[in-house]
Amino acid sequence: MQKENSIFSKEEDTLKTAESLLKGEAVGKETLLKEYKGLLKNYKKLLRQTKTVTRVSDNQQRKLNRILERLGRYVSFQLFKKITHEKGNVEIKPQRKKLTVFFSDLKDFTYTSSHMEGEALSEFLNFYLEIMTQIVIKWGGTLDKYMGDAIMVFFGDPEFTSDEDHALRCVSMAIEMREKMKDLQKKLYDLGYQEPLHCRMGIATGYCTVGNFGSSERMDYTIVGTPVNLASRLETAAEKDEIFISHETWGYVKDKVICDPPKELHLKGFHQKILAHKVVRLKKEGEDNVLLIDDEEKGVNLKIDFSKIPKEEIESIIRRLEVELK
Amino acid sequence: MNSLIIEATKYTPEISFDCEQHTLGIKGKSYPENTSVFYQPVFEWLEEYLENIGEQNITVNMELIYFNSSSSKVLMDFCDVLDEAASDGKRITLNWIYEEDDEDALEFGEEFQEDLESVTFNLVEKAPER
Repeated sequence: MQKENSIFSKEEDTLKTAESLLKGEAVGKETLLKEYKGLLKNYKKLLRQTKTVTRVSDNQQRKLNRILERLGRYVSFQLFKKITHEKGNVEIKPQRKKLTVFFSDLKDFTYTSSHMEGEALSEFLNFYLEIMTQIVIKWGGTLDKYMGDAIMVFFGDPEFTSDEDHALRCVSMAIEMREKMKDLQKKLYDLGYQEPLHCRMGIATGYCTVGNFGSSERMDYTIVGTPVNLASRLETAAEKDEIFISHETWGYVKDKVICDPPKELHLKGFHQKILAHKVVRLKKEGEDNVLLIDDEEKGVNLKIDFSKIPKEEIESIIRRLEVELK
Repeated sequence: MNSLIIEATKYTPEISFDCEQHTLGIKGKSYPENTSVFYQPVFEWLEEYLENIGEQNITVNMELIYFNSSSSKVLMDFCDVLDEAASDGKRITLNWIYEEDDEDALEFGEEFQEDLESVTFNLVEKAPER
């Protein structure tokens, strides 16, 4: 610090001279005047330089703020905080973590976009991604990347709460995105988009490796692992406006989310059959997806868990009951 | 007297003071760990050079992308030394080189320009490197 101050060595010398003059005895008027002029000259110079340094420094600060604002648009909010709040190099060492991973895209968008002009396409994508990203931020997801119209998000890193909370926030985010998409369809139709656009989403929970991947020139903060592939495959398997969640994700959210009975899917890259649950909606307070009639006196004991039994089987039970009644 | 060449690093600019061509160049970024230590040989060379120089035209090219506050203080001292020499009769032209569209660099140049009275100061716009 002391060494750094030596950029002011000339100014310090001037002060020392002035101070020694005051301490000295019987200084001649002429010497005093000469030193006073020197001091005044240096003071003027210092004031001028201070003014310039202050202006330059303020400009640099404004420039830095502008850069930070722009940077915030290119990296996730969480990573931005890590970069700007931590001292030293931001090293994110790869580590294993249980995450909930989300993928979405627009069904048949490749076909739709082939009819669009480049300008209209970029205008549409920015419009769509902006709205969806606001929902990601609202639910605290880490926005991993955009891939054209596709969005990849994960929950559980850098900020960790609990596996249940990550899964529930992710599913809630997906439901809100789907609702928003319905609003957008009308708006887009009014804007002149002929084909109604539909999203499809896939969510999976499991252990991933999270960290910085890339080269020394360019690093990407992202995740790799089976749940990433699974979420992506579930998304591809979903029909329009559908949200498919993996069985593990379902395990975390089943008390708070209503799902259709699971389907067994054959997904590319997975040897075993995968259980996928289609998300219907969030449960209301106190709501259960179970029909329970328990009246021993009348000899009725009925429990139907609608999240487990396929619709066709319920219909078959109803048919059997109808036959019995006749 | 020898020319002074200091290669650029991640934190310090390239110094190329040519006493035969009478061109003095400072180019790059300037936020050294110890500003006064880095610029000490620069000032020593400049003072010796100005003492020995005659009627020649001297061209100083300053092309700085980024500099911290202590560097801006030192660079002002550097410009003051040149300005004083110019007021004593030395023929010094200072070119403040900035990239096209780099409004900040232009503004910094204008700030430095305001403080100089005797040096011929030019703001020189340069096409961006491809």
